[in-house]
Amino acid sequence: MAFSLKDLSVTVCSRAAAFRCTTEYQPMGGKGSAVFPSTYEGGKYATVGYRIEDQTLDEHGRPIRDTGRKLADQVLLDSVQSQANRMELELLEAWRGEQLKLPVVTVDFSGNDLEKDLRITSLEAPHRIADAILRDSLLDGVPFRQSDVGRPLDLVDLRNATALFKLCPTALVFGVWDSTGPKGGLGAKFQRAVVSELVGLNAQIGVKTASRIDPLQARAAVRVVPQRDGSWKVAEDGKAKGAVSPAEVNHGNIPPSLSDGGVTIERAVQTTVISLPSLRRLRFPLTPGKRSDPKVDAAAQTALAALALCAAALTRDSGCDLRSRCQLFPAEAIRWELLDKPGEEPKTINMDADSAIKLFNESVEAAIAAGLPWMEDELILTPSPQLVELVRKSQQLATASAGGE
Amino acid sequence: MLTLGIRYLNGWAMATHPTNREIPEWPPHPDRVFMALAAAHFETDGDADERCVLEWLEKLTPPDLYCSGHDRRTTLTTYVPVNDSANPIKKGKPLAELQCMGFGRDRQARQFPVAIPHHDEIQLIWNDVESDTTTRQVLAELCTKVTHIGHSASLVQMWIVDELAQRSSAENAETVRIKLVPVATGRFRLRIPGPGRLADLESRYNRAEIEEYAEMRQQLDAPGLKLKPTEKKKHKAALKNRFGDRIPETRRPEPALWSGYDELPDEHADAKFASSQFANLIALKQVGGRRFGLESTLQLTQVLRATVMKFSGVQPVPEWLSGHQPDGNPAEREFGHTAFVPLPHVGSTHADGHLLGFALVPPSDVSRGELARALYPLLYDEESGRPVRIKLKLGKAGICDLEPADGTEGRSTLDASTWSRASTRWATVTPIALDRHPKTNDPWLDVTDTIGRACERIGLQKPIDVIPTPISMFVGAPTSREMPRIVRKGANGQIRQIHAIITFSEAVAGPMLLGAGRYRGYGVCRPLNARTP
Repeated sequence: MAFSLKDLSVTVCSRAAAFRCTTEYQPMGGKGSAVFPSTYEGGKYATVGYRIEDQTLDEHGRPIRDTGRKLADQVLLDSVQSQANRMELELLEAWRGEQLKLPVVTVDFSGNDLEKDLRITSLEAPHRIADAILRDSLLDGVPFRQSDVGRPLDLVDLRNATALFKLCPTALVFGVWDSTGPKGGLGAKFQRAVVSELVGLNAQIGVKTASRIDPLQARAAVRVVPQRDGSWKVAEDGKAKGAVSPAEVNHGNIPPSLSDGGVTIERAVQTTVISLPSLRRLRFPLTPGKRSDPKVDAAAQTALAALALCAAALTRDSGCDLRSRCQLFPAEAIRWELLDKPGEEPKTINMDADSAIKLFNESVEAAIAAGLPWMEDELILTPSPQLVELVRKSQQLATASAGGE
Repeated sequence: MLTLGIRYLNGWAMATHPTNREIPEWPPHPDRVFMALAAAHFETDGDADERCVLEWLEKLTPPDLYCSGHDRRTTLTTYVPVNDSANPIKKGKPLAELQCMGFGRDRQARQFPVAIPHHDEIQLIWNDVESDTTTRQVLAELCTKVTHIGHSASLVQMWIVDELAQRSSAENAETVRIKLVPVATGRFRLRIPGPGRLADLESRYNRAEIEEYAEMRQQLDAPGLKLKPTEKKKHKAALKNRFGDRIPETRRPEPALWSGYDELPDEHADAKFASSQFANLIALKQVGGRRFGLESTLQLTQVLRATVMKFSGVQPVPEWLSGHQPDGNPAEREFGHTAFVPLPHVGSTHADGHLLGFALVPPSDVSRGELARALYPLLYDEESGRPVRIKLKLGKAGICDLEPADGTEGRSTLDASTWSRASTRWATVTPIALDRHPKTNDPWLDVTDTIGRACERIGLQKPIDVIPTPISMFVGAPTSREMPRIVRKGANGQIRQIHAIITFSEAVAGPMLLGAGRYRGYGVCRPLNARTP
């Protein structure tokens, strides 16, 4: 069924639990082609039911022993945190493309003569509006959190989320914790309302190769001597002190090697859930210190639900290119369910990216009409001199260490 | 009756087990569910009615849990960007660049254990509870406000289940679910709320004090604030008077009370198979002291038995535990008495037979109440329900510290089902001490016959095949020669012993303890090969 703003508003104000979208995928290279999951410390994959098979049956039903196949019931392809980052980036792109109006705070490093100019938005900073980068930046010469715009953030909580709604509504959808604010660990802590994850099912761990064929065919026997400035020269005497193989300066062949890597999967499943109780508990007083108006609360909560739907729909619409050698394609139409009363069949809702954007834009207009503040123009901050200096030194060190390799 | 239903909306649960941070908690402990309800109450400024309902709920006896089994996702370390500093340099080197930022950020190692339940819905059931309509309504409303249990990513839907829906849910379930009920000496330990829990959580969270402090500091420190010296002095004095030098903080909830849980016997998967006279074993894991091998079985089980007798909650010790009548004569009970058996690491590729713990294996005709009265004070702190340490002192041989296993160890050796699941074929881990010396001209026949009768003696059918063997079928277990022999009482020498492979016509469930040494750790058998018959 199509979903209007009124439908959304009624749903948000009801006792419905969540919107959920479960989508099945196959690798872009076709069923059975390998994909590369996210790796963790030690190059490991996050699996469920990992085992080394000791026996299987051939096509005639005869046992084959000691197959050594490495299997897993499930392998994590994209984590909750990674999915949230992708959704924020999709919103950022849609905002840049002027498809939707979203409050964005940007720290602009240009004009500081850095090796690489940077612009970091509240949708990219690791801790969103509460991130240290924004905290260490200035608005019109005043530290952001001490400015007239930033100071109200010190007082936000579940009962008073208006300032966040105005400046960074994505923080209310993806979660934020202002742990360095005046309330310390009890500072503004808003849990995420969206949880999304992508897993591969019935996986077999594969083998990856690594090698290099040098077009120059530099021979290992021709030794080189690395210099202090990062350059090198050919050694006169191959046995001289400090003489190394050309491979040490990235020339020459690297013989092929094998290691565990990549998985083949039966299918992948992406599950995205938008929790409505998480949004319902938020309050948006228009006057600090006063109780909020339930109608205003409903308008804000509806806009946030629309924002979450928009983020998830945009992410699905943009394709599932997770990382190198991990691109997936939906094997079915994208459908949303509304989880309402337990035991009842969930209602199905059609929500593609275009309808989600439209719904979101309408919900923002309704929120503004209800009296809620919404920062329409991009807020530009300048990094503090200390932050600029830190970044400058970091870039210099990075350049120096790269040159020395 | 009152039933709370919980559905995990993403199909998984992210919550760290309180005793082992590397594994997830499944099923959710009743105390964690209570904390989720309390959080929903406090975070939404719940009213006095809600508070009353929570204070009523915390006083109820521990609920039954109706849930499925689960799998675990490998718990790996994730590095999460910190926020206390934006410094991209650490120890003189640039930190790894964060995508989209262009420069680095320090990271902190975190782990997020995840349980994947086979069925995404669980129920907490209070069977003998009367609740009026108002209480149910208030509780139902509170349930709709719960967002997650455990980590904030662990989204749930919670509701009150009506009885009709509950029956339907059980009947139509495609996935096997089990009912866990509170059992004092149960295999699993779960945290439960108790009287005063809500007040304790509120006091630990300490919201009122923290907010008051923040407000008072704002009056002093707010940027742009221009206070006269007298005003500043007044605010400082008020702050000092109220808080002294203390900065109020929030404290994490502590696990308070624990309860044992176990499956209902008639719902146990193996309940439909013939089983021995022994009840399911109570596993004790070794948590301190030196490593012991199976060869030390007799010595250790003797000390364990003496310790259990000494600290039993029922004195004089009942026959089913001691194996003796009040006059000192051997007990003449149809179902025998409690066995003390080793739990060794055997059966896997690199197993070496060292002991991971022990088990108390009571006879199956002892009620749960009797078991609890006798064993609970030995195993758990009576007030908190936490496990207590049992110290076995073996003189020069060293010490062995034990604690009740709680199902989180992840070691199959400590899992009762490893030793008791139904199977047609069994094999010995410790050799069977033969009840009688082979006397006929065909010792092989004699021994097989003796072992067959040993099976019947513990309530099992006669096996269709017995293969005596000098070695165990389980890697790591000593041969029958390597295990010290049991010495007969009196001057009758040592008892012969042998390993064996035993096959039945139909699957039988354990524990299977055979022969003259069955109460002391000999003749311990384990299912061989397939999990199911």
